[in-house]
Amino acid sequence: CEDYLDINVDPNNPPTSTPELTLPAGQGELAYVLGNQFQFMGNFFAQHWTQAGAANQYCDLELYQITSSDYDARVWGELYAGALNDFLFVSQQAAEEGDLGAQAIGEIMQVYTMQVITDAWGDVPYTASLAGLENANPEYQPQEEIYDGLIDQLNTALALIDEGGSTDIGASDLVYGGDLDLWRRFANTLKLRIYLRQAYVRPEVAQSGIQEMYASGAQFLQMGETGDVEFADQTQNRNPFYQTQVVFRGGVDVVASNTALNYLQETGDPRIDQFYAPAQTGPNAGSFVGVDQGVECTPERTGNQSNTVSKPGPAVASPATAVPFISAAESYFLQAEAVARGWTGAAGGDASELYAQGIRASFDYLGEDVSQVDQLLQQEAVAYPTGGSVEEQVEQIITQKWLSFNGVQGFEAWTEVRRTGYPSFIEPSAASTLGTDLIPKRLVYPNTEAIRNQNYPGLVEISVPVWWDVKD
Amino acid sequence: QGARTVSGRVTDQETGQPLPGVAVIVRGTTVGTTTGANGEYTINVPANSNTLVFRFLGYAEVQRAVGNASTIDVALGFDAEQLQEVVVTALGREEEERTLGYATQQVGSEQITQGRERSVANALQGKVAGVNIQSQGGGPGSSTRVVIRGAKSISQSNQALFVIDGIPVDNSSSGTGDNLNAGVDVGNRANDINPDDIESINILKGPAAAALYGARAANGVIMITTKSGKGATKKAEITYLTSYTVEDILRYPELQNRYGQGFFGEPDLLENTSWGPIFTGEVLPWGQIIDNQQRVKPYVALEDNIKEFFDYGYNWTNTVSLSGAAENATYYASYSNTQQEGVVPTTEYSRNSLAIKGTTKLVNKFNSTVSMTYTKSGGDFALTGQGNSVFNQIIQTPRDIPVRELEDLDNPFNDEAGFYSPYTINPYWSLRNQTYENDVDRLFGNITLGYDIMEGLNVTYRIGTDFYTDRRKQFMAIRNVEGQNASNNDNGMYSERQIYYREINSDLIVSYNRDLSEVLTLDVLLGNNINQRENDDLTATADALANNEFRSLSNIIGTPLTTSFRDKRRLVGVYGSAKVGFRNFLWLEVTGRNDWSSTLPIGDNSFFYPSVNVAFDAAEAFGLAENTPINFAKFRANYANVGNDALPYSTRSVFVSGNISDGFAGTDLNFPFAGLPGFEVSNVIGNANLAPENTSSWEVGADMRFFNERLRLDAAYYNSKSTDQIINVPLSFATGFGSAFLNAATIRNEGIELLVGGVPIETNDFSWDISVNFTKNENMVEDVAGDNEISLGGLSSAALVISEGRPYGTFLAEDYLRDPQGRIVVNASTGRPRLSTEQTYQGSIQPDWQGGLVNTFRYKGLRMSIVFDTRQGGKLYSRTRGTQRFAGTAPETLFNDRQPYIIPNSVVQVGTSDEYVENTTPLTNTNLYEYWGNLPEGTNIIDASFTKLREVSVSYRLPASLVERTFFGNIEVGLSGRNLILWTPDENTYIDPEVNSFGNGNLQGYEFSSYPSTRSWGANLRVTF
Repeated sequence: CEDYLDINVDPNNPPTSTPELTLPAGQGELAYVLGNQFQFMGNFFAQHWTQAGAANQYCDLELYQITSSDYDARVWGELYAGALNDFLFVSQQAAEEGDLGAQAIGEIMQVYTMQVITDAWGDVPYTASLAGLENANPEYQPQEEIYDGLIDQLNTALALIDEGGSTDIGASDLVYGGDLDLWRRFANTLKLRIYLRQAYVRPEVAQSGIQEMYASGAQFLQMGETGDVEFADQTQNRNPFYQTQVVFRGGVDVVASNTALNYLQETGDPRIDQFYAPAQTGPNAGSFVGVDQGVECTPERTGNQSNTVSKPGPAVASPATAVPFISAAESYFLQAEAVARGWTGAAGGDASELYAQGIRASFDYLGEDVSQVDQLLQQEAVAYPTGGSVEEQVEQIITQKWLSFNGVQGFEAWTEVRRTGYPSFIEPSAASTLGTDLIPKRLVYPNTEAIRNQNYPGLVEISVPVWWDVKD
Repeated sequence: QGARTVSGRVTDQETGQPLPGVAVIVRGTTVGTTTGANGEYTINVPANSNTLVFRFLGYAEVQRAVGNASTIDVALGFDAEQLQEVVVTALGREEEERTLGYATQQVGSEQITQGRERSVANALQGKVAGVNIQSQGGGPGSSTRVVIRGAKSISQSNQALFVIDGIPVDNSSSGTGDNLNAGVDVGNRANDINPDDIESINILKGPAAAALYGARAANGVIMITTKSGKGATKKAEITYLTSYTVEDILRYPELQNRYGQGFFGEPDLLENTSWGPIFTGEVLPWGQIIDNQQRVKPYVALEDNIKEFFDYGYNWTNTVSLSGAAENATYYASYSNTQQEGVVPTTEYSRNSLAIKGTTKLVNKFNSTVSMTYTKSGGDFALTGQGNSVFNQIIQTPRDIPVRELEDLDNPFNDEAGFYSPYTINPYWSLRNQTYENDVDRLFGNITLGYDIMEGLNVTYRIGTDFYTDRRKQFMAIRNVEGQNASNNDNGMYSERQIYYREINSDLIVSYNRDLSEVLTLDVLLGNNINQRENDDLTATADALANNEFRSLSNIIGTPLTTSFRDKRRLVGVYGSAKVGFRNFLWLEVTGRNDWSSTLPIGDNSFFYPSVNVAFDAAEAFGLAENTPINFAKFRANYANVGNDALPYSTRSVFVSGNISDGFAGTDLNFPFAGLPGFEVSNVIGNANLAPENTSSWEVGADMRFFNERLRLDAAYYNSKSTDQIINVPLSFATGFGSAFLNAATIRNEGIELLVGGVPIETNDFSWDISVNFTKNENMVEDVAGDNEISLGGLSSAALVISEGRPYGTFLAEDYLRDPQGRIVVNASTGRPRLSTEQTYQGSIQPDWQGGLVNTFRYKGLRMSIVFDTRQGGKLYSRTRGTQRFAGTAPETLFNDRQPYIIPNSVVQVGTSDEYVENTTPLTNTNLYEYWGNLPEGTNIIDASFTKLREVSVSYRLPASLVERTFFGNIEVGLSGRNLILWTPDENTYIDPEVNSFGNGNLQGYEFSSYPSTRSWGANLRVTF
């Protein structure tokens, strides 16, 4: 009888897994969130994209009316219970198997994911998280503590690689195919990002951390070394922005924001035809034309069809468009900022050259001819303000960095706008329901937390900055 | 008067044929006999007794005073209407109803088939107490939910178990998984049962009644007994039945007829909303300019443009059956065909069933029954829900658009490129090019073999099976046009799904009964049950087609996405019951069952549950029948415990193939990813320590009859508590998981059921039988682990949840922000309401009470039955309301004739303070749409009360004198109507509140652009040869 009844083994799902099987699931989930919900949100808030006139699907993003159910189970849930928990499994299981390289990759991906979470929501569960039923009500932790913890975690991961760790993970690593040298540079670049995020709130911590990195000869991601997840032109394997906006919604919602489009046109930037597509019909057919941020969600709306203006272009809205975690361009812009702030010592190189490399890396990633960059750098609005104040230099770096994020790294674009206040020409959406000078400063905690977590800290409004966001 | 001997012959009233096996009982005594093969009997009537009672299944009981007679011949009339004395209880046993200590209600075949309803479940509506029967929509082949005495389980089914001839059969309903977008109600499997094959249905309401069936019967049982040929005459009888009913929509939403197509008060020929200018009657162009031409029409409201979209549907059923009986054998065979065409063009359903059943009583003490039914069913369904479903589109259509003129898809103004609006698609195009069809082949049946070892001792073995395949095909055509409608371009989609289900059920039953003494009787039963259920489900979906020419997985681009799922569960049970009767007026029964289930942790998978019930017939005990108008007075009480196991595979954590979704259809990232497999840590924590669920209940009731059974009363009070409910308890995602299986909820159901019936008038030619049923069930979730709120589903902005201290299925929805005085707080700059930061509870789906009224009139061969059905209280989310507000077609959007106005009694918050001042910002023409289109979702939750004229039927049996001259045995003609009139509260101008979009599962209370319900009427003819 016992044998007859011993059949409760799930034939559909395996009881165990390996780092090779679980790492790609975690990376895919993270790329999906960054390439979908956070791509929409980030590119709207950072004003690369705006709502088309003849629809209103994303007006909430223009009105800055983000509710507690907007980024709940499918974003907060996938980041914690999807990506983060999968990466935790990868590092734990790899440690058990003695695959130190895979363990390091798992740790680095955890840090990356955790930074996205805390940058979006501020104080969140960190050390108390991922304990299953052992801690069903994870405590929230100050963002400052989380940032310190992330550095420690990265140091642990880097030590694993530096100690000669190797990995068998191979092609199951969607980002670098198991290349630990690239992962080391990715981790260093991520560490630089984490320090620079604190540049205004804890400059002394940022400075000493960065100095230490340069003193120990840290290497960062270089041209062609963007860490990204490529999508595939197969059923439910496609770029999520493409699947959702271009296919499912028929491309009716998202069009070029004049904020970004004007800057591209003013500077004669050839990347315009990668970021955007010319209007298909109407009086402007064949040319690049945008919409003022948010205006189509106000009574002044024109109601024009999306195809009478520019939509996201081939480099950002194609079936196989990759979602970068950290791009080579971002790496150079981060280094340029570190140098401009004088936090690198002589090892840091030249800020204006790193800045130019950032733009070249962006061209390279988009498939544009890199040789055009020198000409672009002649433009007044693009030229590096060598000799300008630190803040002027930072403004220039962040403005071009922001542009390089167009359509692919929306979340980081918005986050850097929050941190630095650049580009300075960003004005709130015409449809804003916040105060006149405000763009959203965070996401509100998800509804499931209010209901399921007894340590839920209560509502924090979208207008309240996170810890590192101290600059006007 | 002294003892004497009486003899006589019992015959069938209609045919005059003798009836064997009729119980003949001397009233008030234990003296009884049965009639022989020729219908004859002889009985010794003791002194001081003066009444003989004749009882036979399916016939009305007859009582005769003996007086000085020595011969009493009786003709019994077939009468399903009357409460029958012998009922079929758990395991298919036939028991005398008065000996049962629990509530049952029997419905005869005439009541089931009089309305000519295709669905067995629907046919019971309004006729039984304690049972909530909700038909989910008006689509051909749509599903019905049957819940007895309230919902008890959160993660498992709450529907009654369907049992046919003693064997449980599947009644699941698997929809499309995503009912928000392009959902389909594909029906429930009880739809495969042909109502014409049913002899009677007995409803076992409480756990006590069903304890012997074990786990699945905690929700009560619908015991169906099919026709067997029993009671038929020796000659073969052929019955032919045909019925034709016509149907149309029961409830159209009310519409405004003042403003037409447009936006912001201005005309806009692309719009699919009615926010345009006031109607002028001018002849104006409409739609696109195609080849320099444009259509024109008067700018006036078309009051019936929505109505005109719908057709008349029909349902044509033909059944032919053959039955007969020989000395020791009976047989029944039937073929039935049902063709249904829906009110929405292109929708249809058909069912063909072939049933055979035979019984024999062999000389060597064996008896056997074989029954088998093959059904082939399936249909073409319309997609429901948001997006481009026809129901969503048709409700939005501007008040001046002539819908019927859109029908010709070859017309360049109507095709994909030429259709007037880019915001929607032509509903006729959608119906023809976005299809969903299924095809079910099903076989169920059983073989029963019994052996009488000795007098009173019988052993019976029964094995039954139920299996089906359900093959489904979904198709969405490629759309590829240029111009304004390019935004609806689509690569097409094709999907095939195959569902296979099989259940095997084996019972070995030993029964023993004997009279222990003059005054004591004993019935003992011991049994073993083995049950296995398995599912196998395979789906392949392609999201790009090569062309629109044919519908096949070979006609796609790229690799189809394939998923498969299977599960299997087994249960072994041992059960027993003992029933002791005392002096024919007191019965005590105890039962017990122990189950071992494969879905519980191995080693801890055994659970036992007992029940006890008592029945006391006071009329018999105190001889009330002799001296008072009380003919019958039974009191009953019971206590029962029923265990339940878990869903398969809940006992351990697993890894699942990677999938992440943003909620839009077909936009997931699904592994394998570019050929690479990926398995993520499942978000559900398995539990190796799961314990079985338990429902314990008690019940008291009375069944009384007065004035020669002219007045009947049956009342019951029950109270059940379901504990250790296995639920998927939601966890903070920050734990790394979304939920865990835990024994973690308690739900109580408490209620009363009343059934009052009477025969106010009864003469030789005329009778009026009236019966009222009333049910009040109070449902309360008494405990949920960690004060969690468990979502049953729905919308994130209007979810249906389980929450401690509230009824099962309470709405948690967006609400207005209100000041401490309850006034609506608006945005100072727009004058539009602000949303509360937290969602609020806005009522539950549970009705306060429900009831039915059944009137039956007979005059000679004429019979008329009228059934009313009502449900009062409870809430419903109506997407139609939301859509009509958004689209400006609802009459309420005419408020203040669409001139600027300030929301009455609204206030503005001063800064972020607690101070509120009167609002002075009016809503204007330019944001009226935004006001109506963005009201909190909670405002779409409406009162779900209704009353329906559920059924009217008239039948006429031609007098025997006429029929005799033909070769027919019997001719009956009839008229039937169902759901003819609907009454609802004033606030519901939208829909029939019975409609539910999410199928017949636990997620109820959502009308989400559903297939509207229908009313039907028609005629039927029954002849026998």
